Amino acid sequence: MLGEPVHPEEAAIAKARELVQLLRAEVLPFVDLVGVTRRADGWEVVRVDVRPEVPTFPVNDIRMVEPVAVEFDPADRFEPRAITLRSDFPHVPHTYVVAPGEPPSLCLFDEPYTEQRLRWTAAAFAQRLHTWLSKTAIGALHQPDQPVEPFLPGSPAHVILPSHLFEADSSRGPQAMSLYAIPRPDSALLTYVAGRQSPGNGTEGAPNCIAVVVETKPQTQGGLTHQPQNLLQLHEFLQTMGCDLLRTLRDNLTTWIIERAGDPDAIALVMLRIPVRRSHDGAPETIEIRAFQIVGSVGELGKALGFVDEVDGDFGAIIGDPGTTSVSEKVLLLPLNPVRDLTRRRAQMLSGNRSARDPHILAVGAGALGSQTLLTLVRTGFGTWTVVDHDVLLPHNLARHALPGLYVGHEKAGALAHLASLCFEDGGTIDSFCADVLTPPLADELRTKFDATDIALDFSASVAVARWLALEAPGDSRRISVFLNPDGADLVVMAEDQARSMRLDCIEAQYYRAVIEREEFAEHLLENGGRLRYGHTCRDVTSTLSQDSLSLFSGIAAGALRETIASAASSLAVWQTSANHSVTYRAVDLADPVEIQCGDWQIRTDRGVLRKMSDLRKQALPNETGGVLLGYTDHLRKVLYVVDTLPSPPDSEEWPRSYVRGCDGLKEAADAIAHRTGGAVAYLGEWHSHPDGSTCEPSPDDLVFLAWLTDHMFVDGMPGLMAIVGEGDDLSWYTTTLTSAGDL
Amino acid sequence: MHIVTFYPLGNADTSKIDLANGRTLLFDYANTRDPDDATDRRIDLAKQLRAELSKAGRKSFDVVAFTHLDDDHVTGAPDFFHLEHASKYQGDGRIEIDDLWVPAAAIIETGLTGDKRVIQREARHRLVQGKGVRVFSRPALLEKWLRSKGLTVADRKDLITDAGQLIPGFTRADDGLEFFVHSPFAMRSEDGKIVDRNRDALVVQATFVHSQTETKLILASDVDHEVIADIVEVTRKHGNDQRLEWHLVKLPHHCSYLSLGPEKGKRKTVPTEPVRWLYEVQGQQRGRLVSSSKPIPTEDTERPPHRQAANYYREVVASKSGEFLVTMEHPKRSAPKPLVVEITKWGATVRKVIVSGAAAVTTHRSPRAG
Repeated sequence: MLGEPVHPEEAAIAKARELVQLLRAEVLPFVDLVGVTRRADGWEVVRVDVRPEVPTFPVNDIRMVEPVAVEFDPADRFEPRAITLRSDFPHVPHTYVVAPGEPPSLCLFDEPYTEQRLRWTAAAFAQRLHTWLSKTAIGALHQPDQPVEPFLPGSPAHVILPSHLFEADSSRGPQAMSLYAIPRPDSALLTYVAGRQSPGNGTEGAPNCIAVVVETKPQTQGGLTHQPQNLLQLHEFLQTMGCDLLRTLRDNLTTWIIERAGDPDAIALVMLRIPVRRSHDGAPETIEIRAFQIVGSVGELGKALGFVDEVDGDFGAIIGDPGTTSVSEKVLLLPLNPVRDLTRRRAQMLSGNRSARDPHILAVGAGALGSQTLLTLVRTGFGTWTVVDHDVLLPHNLARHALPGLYVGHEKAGALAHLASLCFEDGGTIDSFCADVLTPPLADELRTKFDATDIALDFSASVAVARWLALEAPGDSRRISVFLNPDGADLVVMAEDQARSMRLDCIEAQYYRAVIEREEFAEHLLENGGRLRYGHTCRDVTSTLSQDSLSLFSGIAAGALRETIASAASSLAVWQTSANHSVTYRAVDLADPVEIQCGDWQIRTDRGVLRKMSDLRKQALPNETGGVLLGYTDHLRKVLYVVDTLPSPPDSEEWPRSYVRGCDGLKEAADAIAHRTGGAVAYLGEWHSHPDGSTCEPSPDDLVFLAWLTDHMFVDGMPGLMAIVGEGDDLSWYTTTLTSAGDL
Repeated sequence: MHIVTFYPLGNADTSKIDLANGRTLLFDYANTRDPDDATDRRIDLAKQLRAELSKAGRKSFDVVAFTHLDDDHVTGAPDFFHLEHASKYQGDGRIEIDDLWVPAAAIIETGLTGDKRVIQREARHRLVQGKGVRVFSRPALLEKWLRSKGLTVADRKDLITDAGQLIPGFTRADDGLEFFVHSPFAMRSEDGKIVDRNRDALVVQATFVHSQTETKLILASDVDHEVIADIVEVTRKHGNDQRLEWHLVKLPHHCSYLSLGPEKGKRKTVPTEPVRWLYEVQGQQRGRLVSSSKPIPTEDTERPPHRQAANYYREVVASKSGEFLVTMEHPKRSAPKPLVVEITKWGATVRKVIVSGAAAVTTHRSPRAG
C-alpha cells in the first residue's frame, strides 16, 4: 500500500511535492513529515504525524499523535486521500472503508474533487486533516444539522422505484413490478425505471422484477463500509445488523416462484432499509435505503442457492438446509442507487408549498399562458385539475406552448392532461374535456365538474368566456381570470371573492376605469407590436411574443394564483414588464358593485362611478352639472356596464334649475378613451344633477332630453341612457329604446 | 468553558485562569522580554495581558498570586499593576488587583531588592490595611511581624489560609473551581522532627468543574524534589491522595532535574520515590505536563531546562497517551505563542490552531515597505 521509500525531495507528483515542501519548511505546526514512498502504479504516499486537539476525555479515541498516509494520484484524477495508519483507529462518521480489512480513509471534504481542485492547497489540506481529527475527537465533526452518516456507499446507477417501497411496513413478501432499463451513453451503466410507462411502447409491461425488502433494527451511525460485491458479503454485513438475508431471500424466492407461479426469468432486487440514529440513545432520524440487483434470474438464483428445484419446467421447493453460504459468494451484486418516484405530496414539499388549501381547479383554455401556468402549478403539487379546451395543437403553438411537438395534431386539453400526469407516479390528478364552453349544450359530465370545482379559472384570453364564467357558467365556484395585455407586456389577474359578491364582469369594468384613470396603464391596452393575425380579441396573445416573456408571466401567474386562492378576497392586479425585463406589480382597489334593473336593461356599475358623479355634483352646487357616461354594452345579456364619466365640458351651461351639456372637446375625449381602452369603452349615455331638495324624478325638460338621446342612440342599436344624481345617495337611471324610428 | 493560559517567557512563569463566569486569576507575572532585542521570541507580557483584558472588557484581575518573590515570577510587575501602597504605581492605565495572594515568606523575608521589594511592600501594605490580600502559611510564622505593626493573628485570621485548606472565595458551585493549598506548610515528620516548609512557594491544586467533568491542575511554582516529597508525605498522611491527582501540571522550576531528584542522570533523571508517585501514579490518562521554560536542549546543560528531566516527563506522558509541552516550543520554536488550554465537559484540550497566512498577516504590523 505504501510502496518503496523515496527521498522527500524526489516526490514527483506536484501536489505531493507541495505538501512535502510545506512540511519541510516547518511553518505549519502540528503536522510533521514522516516520509515519502512511491508505489508501482506511480502513486506517491506522504506519511505525516498529525497532532490534533485532543481533550482529556475525548468522545472518540483520537490520539495526541495520529499517523496518516496521504495518497496522491499521478494524473490528479482523484483527490489526495488521507488514510489512517493506525490499525485500531475508531469507527467514526466520515470515514470510508474501501476494501474489507483495509484501514479507513478519512472523508475530509464534502464536495466533488472537480470543485475542490480549484482551491486545493497543501496547507489547506493539512489544516483540514488537523481539523477533521480535532473535531472527531469530540464528536463534533458531524454537525447537528447534517444528516446522519450512511453505512454503505452510493452507486452511480439509478433505479427509480415506486414510492410505496420506501415506506415502512413494505417488507411483506416479494414486490412485483415492471422494470425497464435505459442504457447510459456515457458509461456502461444502466438506469432502471420501475412502475412507469416505457417511452418506447407507451404502456407498463408485465411484472419482470421482484423487490425483496429487508429492514434492519435501528443502527447508530458509524463510518462508510465497503460496497458488498457478492451476496455473501451483503449477507454478512446484514448479519451484523441482526438480519438473515439468505433466509429472507429464500422465503421471497419460493413465494414468487412456487406459490405465485411468477416468472422465473424475472430479476430480483434487494432493497435495504436501515433506520439510522445519531447516537446510541437517540431515535432513528432517517432510513438509509440501498438497493442491489442480484445478477441472474430468480429461477437460476433459486436453483443455485438450493431453494428450489426445476423438473421439466416445474419448480418445487427444496426442504431442509440448503447450505447456501458458500454458493452465495459466487452470486454477484450490482449496487444501485434507489430513487423514490415522485408523488404529488413530495412535489409539494420540494416546492416549499405548504398551502393548507388543495383546491380542485377547472381551467378553461389551454393556450400558451394557460398550459404553462397550469403545468407549473401541477409541478408544485398544487391542486387537482380539470382542463377544458377545444383546440388542437398546431405547429405555430409550439413556439410558446407547454406541449412539445410530440403532441402536434392532438387536442390540447387531453395532451396537457397526459403531460401533466407524467409528473407523478400517481399521475391521475388531472382530467380533460375537449369542448368549447360557449357552444351549447355543455356535456353533463362537464357541467358536473363545474358544479363540483372549487375554482373556475379562465385562461381563455376571451372576454366572452370570462363574461360567461361570471354570469352563466354552472355552479357557484369562485372565478378567476388570467390574461396578457395585447402587446404581451403585462399580466392581469382578476379574482372574484370567495362569496362571489364581486363578479368577474364587474372587475373587468373597473379594470377599464383603472386603464382610463391611471397613468401607468396609458399604453396597457394599446397594440404596439405588429400582430400576427390569428385571434381577434384584445386578450389574444397570438402576436409577436417570445417564450421568455411567457415563461416569466406563467411563473408569476402560478405564484399569484396560489396566493390569490389562499385569500378569500376579490382582487385585481397587473404585472408590468419593461424593456430591461424588470417587473412592476400594480394592485387596483375595487369598489363595491352596483346592479340596477331598468326596463329591459340591467345596469351594472360600481360605487366608484357613483361617488365620482356625486362629487362633481357637490362641487357645482348650487348649480346643476352633468356629463357623459362611459362604458359598454353586452347585447347578449342586455347589460349596460357604466365604467366612468367625463366631467361637464367647458361650454356647458350650469344653472340652479337647469343644465345644458356643452360639447367642447367632448368627442376628442371620448375618442381618446376608446383608443386607450382598445375600443372597449365608449360613449354610453348622459347624466346630470338635481339641486338639493329636489327629487331625481325627470323634469319635462329631462324627458325631452332623453327622447333626443334615444333617437340618436337608435342609430347605433343602443338604448338611451340617462342618470339623474340628487342629494346624498339619491340616483335614478332611465333607459328608453325605440322599437322603430320616431317611436317614444 | 474555563481557560488556562501559559505564556512563553523563557525560563519564567505566568499562568492565567479565565473562568466561565468571567472571573480572572493570574499566577505570577514575569515580563522577561527584552524590548530592545528584536529577535527575542518571548512574548511582550504587558501588551498581551492588556489586550486580553481589554477584549474581556476588564481593567483588573480578581486575583493576582505571586507564588514566591523571585525575579522569574515578579519581573516588571511594578510597571504593570496599580499598587496601593504608593502613588507612583498608580494611574496611567495600570491594571488593578482585587485580591493579592502571596506566601507568608513574601511578607517576612528580608533583604529583597528591586521589583521583589516593591511587591513585598504592596503585600505588607494590604495586610496592614486588612483587605485585598491573602497570605498562605501557618499563622504563627506571621505573628511576630503582625505584632510589630500593632496587630494580632486574630485580627487578620480571615486573610490567612493554611496548607491543607481550600482557598475561600472560590467554590465548585459558583465558580466551577476550587483551590487546595499544598504549600507552604510545616509538619512533624515520622521521626518526630518538625519539617518547616513555611518559607517555600505557593503550590496549589485547582479542580475545575465543567458540566460535571472534573479537570485537575497542579501549579507547582519552583519547588524542588525535597519539597515535593514533603508535600506528598503530608498529603498522603492526611488521606488526601486525590488532591495530588492531575490532568495538567505546570511543572516546577522550568524543567529542572532538581525538581525530580538529586542526580541529573545521563539520559534521564530518575525521580525520587515520592516524586515518581506524584507523576506516575497520580497522573491521569491523557495527562499533560507543561514546562514553562526555554526549548528543551539536545545537549547537556547546567541551567534548566534539563533534557534529562524532559526525558523523564516525556516517558510519563507517553505511558498515559498524554503530552509534554514546552511554552517556548508551542506551537513551534520559531514563533512561540501563549499555550491555551480549554477546560470543558471533555476535560482539558490544548488549543492547536493552524493560523492561515492571511490571518497572520492581518493581525501584525507589516514590515516597512520602501
